[in-house]
Amino acid sequence: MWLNHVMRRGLDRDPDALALRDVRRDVSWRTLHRDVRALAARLRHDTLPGSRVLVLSANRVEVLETYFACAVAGLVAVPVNPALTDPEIGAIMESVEPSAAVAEEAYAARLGALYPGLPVTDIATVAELPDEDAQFTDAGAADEAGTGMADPVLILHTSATTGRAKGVVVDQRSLQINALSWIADVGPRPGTAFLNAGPLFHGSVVIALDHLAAGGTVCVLDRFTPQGCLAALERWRIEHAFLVPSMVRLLLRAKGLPGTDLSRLRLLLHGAAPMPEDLAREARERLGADLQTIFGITEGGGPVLTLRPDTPVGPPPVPGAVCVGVPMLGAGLRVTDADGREVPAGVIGELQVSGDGLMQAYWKNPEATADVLRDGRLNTHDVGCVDRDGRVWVVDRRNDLILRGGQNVYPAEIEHVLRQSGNVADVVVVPVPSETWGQTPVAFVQPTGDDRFDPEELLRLCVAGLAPYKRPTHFLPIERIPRNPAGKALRTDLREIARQTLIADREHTS
Amino acid sequence: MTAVRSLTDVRALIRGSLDHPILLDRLGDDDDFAGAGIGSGELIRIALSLEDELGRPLEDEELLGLTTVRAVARLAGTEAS
Repeated sequence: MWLNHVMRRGLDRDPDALALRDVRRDVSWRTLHRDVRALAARLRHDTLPGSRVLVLSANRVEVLETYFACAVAGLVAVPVNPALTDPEIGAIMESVEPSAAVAEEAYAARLGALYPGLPVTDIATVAELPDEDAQFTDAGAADEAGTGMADPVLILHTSATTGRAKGVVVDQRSLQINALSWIADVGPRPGTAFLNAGPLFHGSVVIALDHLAAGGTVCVLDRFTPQGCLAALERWRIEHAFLVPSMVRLLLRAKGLPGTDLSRLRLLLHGAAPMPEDLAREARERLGADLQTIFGITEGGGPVLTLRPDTPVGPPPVPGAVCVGVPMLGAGLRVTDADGREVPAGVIGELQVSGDGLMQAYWKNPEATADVLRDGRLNTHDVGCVDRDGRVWVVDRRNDLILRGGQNVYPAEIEHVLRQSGNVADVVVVPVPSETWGQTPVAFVQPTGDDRFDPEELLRLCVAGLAPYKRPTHFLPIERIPRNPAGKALRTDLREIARQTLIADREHTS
Repeated sequence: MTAVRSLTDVRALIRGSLDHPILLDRLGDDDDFAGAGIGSGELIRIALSLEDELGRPLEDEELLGLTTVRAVARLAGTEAS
């Protein structure tokens, strides 16, 4: 319903205006409408309403077209990171039981081996699919077709505390609320050129959908490289871009930056990880754009808090705290103590968000859902406070999430893979600070005996079982994993040991 | 600008961009980086190191071609000669 309205509105305003573009194609609203109708008809042919459609592709405009087509056809799109290993993708497929897939040709054989008999549409052929389904040939009919506001339209997978990815079920109402708050608090206009540099399977994809809701043009980068990003900013005359801090740091290192025309870039939105103040200052100076902080969470429907440019911010309430602004339109926030009671301003507690943008549930995982969603509020697992001016500060995370270059990695996933080794008696993964990536995982490994610590074997297991971004950057042997009397690993102690060990290593090396 | 003159020099440059240099030791000069488990973040760092080495920005097509040790060497060697 909502995505149908977004498409309809773009078509009504100016059918020849640009909705999407990448290095292969420019897609007007008229063409978007055609492609979506054609793909929706194809998918309807292969599936029943409510079925899941796996989307396995690198970034390209047709990925967004596929999300629209699923919405129109009453199906649920399940984007998957192609960098995941076969066991990781297989686990997702086993969970969502797709009835069809839309994928790049290179991945079709992979899907065939993982899920024999699954009908796969080559995503590169979307523009050539026949547009002949009578049900969707009339634009008005398309508005009425598809899912209702409460029906799921996307399942976005996140790394999980349990070692298996969790599927966040997103409905059209969530996309609607998010778009309205984005239009209110970020303010893209019809025609605003937005650069989508992040992966379209990531939760931040809702930002691209928000820009389309505003009538803007979403320019899709195939994959992030600093050089490719600079070229896109100039060539496509980008006005708004969303980058994670790691991307900003890499961009500033690129040799081509001084020669790139960034005169159209007005607003650099950043999120998914804390932005260090020195990096923010350098970015403002060298990119010549305002910076706006976005605090988002996939389970919260995407962006929920924002710190607008030029908002005066006082000193942090505790060292290292990061100001993430105020709730966006339609989102609520409160800080609670360990018993779930709201605490007054200045007191540190757990951040909970509320509003119609929240996910419906984790797919087929009521226990995990109950753990974070209670009484219409989502527990973010972030620890923070609200200052006297009403601004929200994030102090730390309560759980073990590692934020590497804007992507979430839970230690349990890595620990699960490393435990497959017969040489590993115990293992705990913790984050360490990284100048480029924000954080990286480090694995403490307790071997089963003397001379049984084998980092090469551990690396082999990770290469086979984990996407590269989840792979620990270091394997550190430890005689015994420190645990409290209840058996819980003393992760805070291990983080500090890892930090000190790696600092000592670096000093020794240099 | 420091000229990169041999495959050994190129391997040293690549090694400095990897979290696990041992992945490079298993890699032949014509083996694909991605197939060996080298991730996109590491490829970005290889490209930035090469830019530092060459003293100029890399073009899109050059970036896409950085898939093997020999491909990196070819680009580095061309510039150095």
